[in-house]
Amino acid sequence: MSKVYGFFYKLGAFIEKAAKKVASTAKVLWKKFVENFIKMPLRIMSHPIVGYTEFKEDKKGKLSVAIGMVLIYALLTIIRYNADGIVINAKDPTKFNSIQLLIYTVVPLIILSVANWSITTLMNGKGNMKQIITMGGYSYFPLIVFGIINVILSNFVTVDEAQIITLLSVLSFVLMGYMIFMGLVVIHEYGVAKAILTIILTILATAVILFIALLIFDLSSQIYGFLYSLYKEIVSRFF
Amino acid sequence: MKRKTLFLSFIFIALAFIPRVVVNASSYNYDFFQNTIYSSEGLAYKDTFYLSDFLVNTTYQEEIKTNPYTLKGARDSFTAALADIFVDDVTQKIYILDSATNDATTSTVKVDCADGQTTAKLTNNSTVYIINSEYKMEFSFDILKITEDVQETLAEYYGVSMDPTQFSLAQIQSADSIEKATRRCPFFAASFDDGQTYEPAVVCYGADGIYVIGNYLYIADKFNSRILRVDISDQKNPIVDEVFLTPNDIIFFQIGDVGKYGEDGKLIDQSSRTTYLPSKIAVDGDGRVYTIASSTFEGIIEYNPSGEFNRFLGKNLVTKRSWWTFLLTNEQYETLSSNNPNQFTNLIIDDRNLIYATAKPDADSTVAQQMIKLINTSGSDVLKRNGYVTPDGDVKYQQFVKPAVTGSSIFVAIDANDSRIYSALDQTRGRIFTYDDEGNLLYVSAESGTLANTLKTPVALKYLTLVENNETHEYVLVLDQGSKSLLVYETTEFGKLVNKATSLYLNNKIDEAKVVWEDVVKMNSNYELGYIGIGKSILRDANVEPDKETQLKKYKQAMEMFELGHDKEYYSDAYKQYRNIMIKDNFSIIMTGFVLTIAFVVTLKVFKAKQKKDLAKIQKEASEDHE
Repeated sequence: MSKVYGFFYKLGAFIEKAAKKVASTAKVLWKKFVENFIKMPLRIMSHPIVGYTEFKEDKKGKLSVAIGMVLIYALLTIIRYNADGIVINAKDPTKFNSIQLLIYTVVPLIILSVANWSITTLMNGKGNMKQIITMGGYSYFPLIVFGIINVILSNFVTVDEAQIITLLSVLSFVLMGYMIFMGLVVIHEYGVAKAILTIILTILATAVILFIALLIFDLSSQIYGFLYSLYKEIVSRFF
Repeated sequence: MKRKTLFLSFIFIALAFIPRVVVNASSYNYDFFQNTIYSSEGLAYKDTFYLSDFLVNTTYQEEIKTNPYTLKGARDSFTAALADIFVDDVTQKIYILDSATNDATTSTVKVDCADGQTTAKLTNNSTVYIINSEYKMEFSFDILKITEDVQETLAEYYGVSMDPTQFSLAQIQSADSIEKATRRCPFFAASFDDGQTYEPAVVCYGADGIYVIGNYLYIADKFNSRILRVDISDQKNPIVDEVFLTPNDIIFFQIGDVGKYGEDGKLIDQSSRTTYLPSKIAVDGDGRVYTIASSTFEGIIEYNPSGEFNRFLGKNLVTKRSWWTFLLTNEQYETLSSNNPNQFTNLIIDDRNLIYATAKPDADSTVAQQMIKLINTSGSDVLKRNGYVTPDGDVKYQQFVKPAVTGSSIFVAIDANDSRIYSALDQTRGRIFTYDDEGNLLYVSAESGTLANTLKTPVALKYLTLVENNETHEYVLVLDQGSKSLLVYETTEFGKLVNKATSLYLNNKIDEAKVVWEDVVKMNSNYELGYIGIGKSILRDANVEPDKETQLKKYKQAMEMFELGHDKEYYSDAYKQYRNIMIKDNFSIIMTGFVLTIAFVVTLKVFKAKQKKDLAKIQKEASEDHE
């Protein structure tokens, strides 16, 4: 009997220990999550100069957090495709493509970051590639917050009240723009005029990148076509 | 493991590239997302009548009887060019206009000249066939007697004396053929009793439009630049009693050397030549004539009942050219096509005196739009376009890729009925699009091809409602110029239900409409309009429902129906009521929960602060003790 009791006692102790460990780990993780994913972006939004200085100098901006932000936003976009209320949702459920939505979220960030980096390195910008990408990732924060509010709200509004949702989403994009602009100013240590100039040049660089990408795509398909016709010619002539 | 991951990712990528199914059936519809979806047939092919089937008593029919082998290719040997059709709802007679008829109905015409007489066999003049509801020809005429008034008007207009014997024989013989000469004559002497007596008469040349109202038949005599009003109260003896000539407006004239005849019977040089080519006509209840003229861009031409030109109506707008045209040099600019408003192709008048008109798509516009117009008396377009797709025919079509038929729909004919349902005939793909008052696409029917049941070059469309054995049959008649035939389509059971529900809803019988919509949805569960119809009825019921629980249930049902039909306005209406009731019923719970939550949070904060304070106190005491 005592053996049985002993076993249960040991089991109980183990479970207690494990639960405590899980709880403490979860607490640490939650604390980290709140610290990195909520408090830091909020601090950047409320005090952009101080926030971004901490972000850069104290290494408080983390690439992993930025990637997490982008992935959360991608997930939110995918969920919103079907979960939005029918009052604002005019998307065709048969054309749902999660890969496409993921690409549409991630690719603009990468291209814009590369374009910005290639411009700012030439214009004495102090920020490096990692910092730019991290800053871009953090700027998805308002989109995520207002996106979550919108997806819930859209299921409880009528057509007349749907204006609120439009207002909120516009607000979220304005905040995102604000975060990016202040981020560029602080990270690259620019004045306002120079920051605006680099933004315009970044857009131009993006256009150039897209043009080259299309060119490469087109040329490679032409080369493929040429090689294929060559192969056909050889096959039908000698074999 | 790695291979498995690779395989799975391959499947996911492959799923993203699965091609979408393209519906190529003759019967389809567009859903809320403008996808092409299968739908039930609204109109079903019933019968084809060739011109030879109508010509009961002609030599052609006898020839077929004696020698059936002549049938081979005989249908194509007809020189007929069927142009227009009209159905008189009162007498249920079908009027078919043939621009140029066959040799079987040649007529003898005497042309009286100043220096002699000549008799001619007249061919290729336009003919009107009057057909009864059993598709048998009753009567046809091509040479029309004219009254003295008309003769006077024509004589004055063309500058010839009352006596038709003003033309010289040489003048007529100098023309390519005698038929051409007779057409150039404003009127001539024709015999209707085998050469016994001669009376002044006219023929139509390339007539393109026909309209019947009461005892009057209107013909747009296109290449003679006039509209004739024919009194057909005595069917065997039709007589032209009014003529509508070129409107007295500068845009219809061109300075040239042909047209009028002088006092001496010779052509006047340097006279103004009319360029007026009336093609389609419609007449309202007061006798005002509306017409569309070829190469006239100012809109629909309106005559008052006495034959004078009133005004232009409903001009189409020009799409702005692309901004980069300013880069072109003058030479390059001149090579561009002229930027004219798109032309109208056909028109009808409904019982409210509103004009349904079809127009060609604008060449400069990227999207083909506003091809159907509902023009009111002030000339503005009042057509409702509230459907999933605008009433412009096909939304998705090939634009560049051959050998598919490319380009947007081009409507050539339209007809509307009492319940404001209208059908438009698309010449590009030989389809009939039927819309309701709100602009919803009800059903798409017919297809193009060279078979007996397909349309080759459709030119005209009319509704025909017949009561046979106490059953109402709704037919759509389509005139096909390419195959020289009349195709009869009958509204299917599904189409009838849709029409009935639409008309019931229009007459505010929403509860009766619901029953019909339910049948429609049973036949075609993809028919989203049906769900909206049912939803509207349920919503109206719910608004007057006394029992609260049933009311809530009904609002919920209505919401489901509107969600299926993707109608967010009506969904919002239902949802607003539903939400109000829910909030009213559960106000106590919601409010209690809200207050309790606040109380809980406040208590927790106070408690935590106190705990902190206590902890600090204990620590302080402990440290003091330690010291």
